Amino acid sequence: MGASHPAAIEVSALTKHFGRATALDGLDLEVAAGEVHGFLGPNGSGKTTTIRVLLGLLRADSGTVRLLGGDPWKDAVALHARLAYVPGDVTLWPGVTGGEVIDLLSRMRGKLDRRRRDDLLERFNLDPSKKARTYSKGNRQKVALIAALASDAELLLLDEPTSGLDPLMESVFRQCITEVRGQGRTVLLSSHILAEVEALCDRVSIIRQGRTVESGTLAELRHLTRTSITVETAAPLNGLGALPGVHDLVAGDHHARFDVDAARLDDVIRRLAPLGVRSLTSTPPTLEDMFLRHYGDDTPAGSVAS
Amino acid sequence: MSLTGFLSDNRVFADRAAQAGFVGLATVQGFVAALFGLLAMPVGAFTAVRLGAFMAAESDRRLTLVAAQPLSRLRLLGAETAATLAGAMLLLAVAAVGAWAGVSMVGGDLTLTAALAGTFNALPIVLLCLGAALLAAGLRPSAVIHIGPVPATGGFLLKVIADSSGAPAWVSDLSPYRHTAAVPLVGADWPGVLVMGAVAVVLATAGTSAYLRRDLTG
Repeated sequence: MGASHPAAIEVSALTKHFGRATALDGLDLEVAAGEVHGFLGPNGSGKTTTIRVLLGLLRADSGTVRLLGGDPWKDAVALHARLAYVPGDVTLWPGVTGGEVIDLLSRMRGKLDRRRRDDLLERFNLDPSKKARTYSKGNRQKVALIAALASDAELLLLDEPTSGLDPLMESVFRQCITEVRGQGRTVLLSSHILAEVEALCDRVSIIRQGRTVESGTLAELRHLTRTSITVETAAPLNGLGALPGVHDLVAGDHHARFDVDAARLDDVIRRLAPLGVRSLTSTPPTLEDMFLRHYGDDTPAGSVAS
Repeated sequence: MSLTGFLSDNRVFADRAAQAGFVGLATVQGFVAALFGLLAMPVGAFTAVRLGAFMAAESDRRLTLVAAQPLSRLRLLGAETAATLAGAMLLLAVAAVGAWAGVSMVGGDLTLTAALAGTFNALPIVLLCLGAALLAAGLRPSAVIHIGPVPATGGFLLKVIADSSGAPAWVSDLSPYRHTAAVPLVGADWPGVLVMGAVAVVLATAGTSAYLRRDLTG
């Protein structure tokens, strides 16, 4: 992260156990102020537990956690005034309307910006006069999203905030987060939707079984992984499989499809050039590719928290 | 025939009742005092159920959005406890007004002040229930509605069984009912009221302290 950006979130060697089960096993996370940070991991990897520790709802067993310069457990009230939170599965009191929940949460923060609230109600197409018991999961999610986005919080902790939203509303959410980033606010976005993370996030942390396994910009993460190449040459393709960094080769006489480590791409292209390249398609790895590389053979035994 | 008249005419029944701890049933004051003593059980259970509902809101994550606001946990629990206590006192007041109105309608001798003194005489046991519920909220939130009513229901059963079975006095002394006078038949047992109030405060303080230190469930 850039030296000019102080960290909004600094987590180091965080552990959390529930009984004998380990939810967080030395997790590290660093989110710079003003960035949108993707927080990726499968169910049970510890994303929600991490966010609940950041909120001071759970107490860390060990490790250090700093949020906006404070301790989330000891300074919870002061920090909560500076952040907004959207849980992944919003549960509301059934007899209260969505509008009442939004207004209550806003008033607890000290002020209610009616203009911003009304604008968000319109954009998310939510009827605030209905009781929470009549809302679908997506509508309950909208209530929490509108309350968070209507606030002037400098940090938004979003735990799978678009689960239950339809594609149209996901698009509205993306626009809102883009606006939030434009205002210089910080977002920690836990998500399963990789396209969403690719579209919105400056940096990404991938966690697995309570540990951080990758962290960096998407470009940095791509550099660490493989590029898919499809090539057709005039001369016969021989010996490609023996080149270092080449994987999953499917080759014919004059055409081949393979993955190559980013660091070896240059060597492979040099080898191909003298063969008379007729066509070449290079596909950078998607976040999904990176994700599947980490989790394709994952067995989540021992993980208890999402 | 009135119930107090029935008890006046049936000394054996009244004696058995006295043996089980219900004295003076043959008078209006004695009879309502016995009923008001029983009032501690439903009102004590009310406090446990209210705090149990608060714990349920925590465990099913209805409380999460509120807990993430700039609001201390002490304030959250304090607000719920204050509302619960206010509700319990309202129930005691309503019971007093109801008893006074009922007795007055049939020409009985019970002033509103005496009725209020009688129902609020159950408040120390209700406070013990609230204290026990708070202790459970701090240490074992899923058991609040089971542990909260114990001082009232457990204490009542303990006293009746101990008095009826001739158990040693110290067994009966463990029951809060042993330290609760039959108001308005007689004056309040002020030392008992103060001790029960102090025990309730200790339970509530210990429970609140544990609540502030523990993880939120859910």
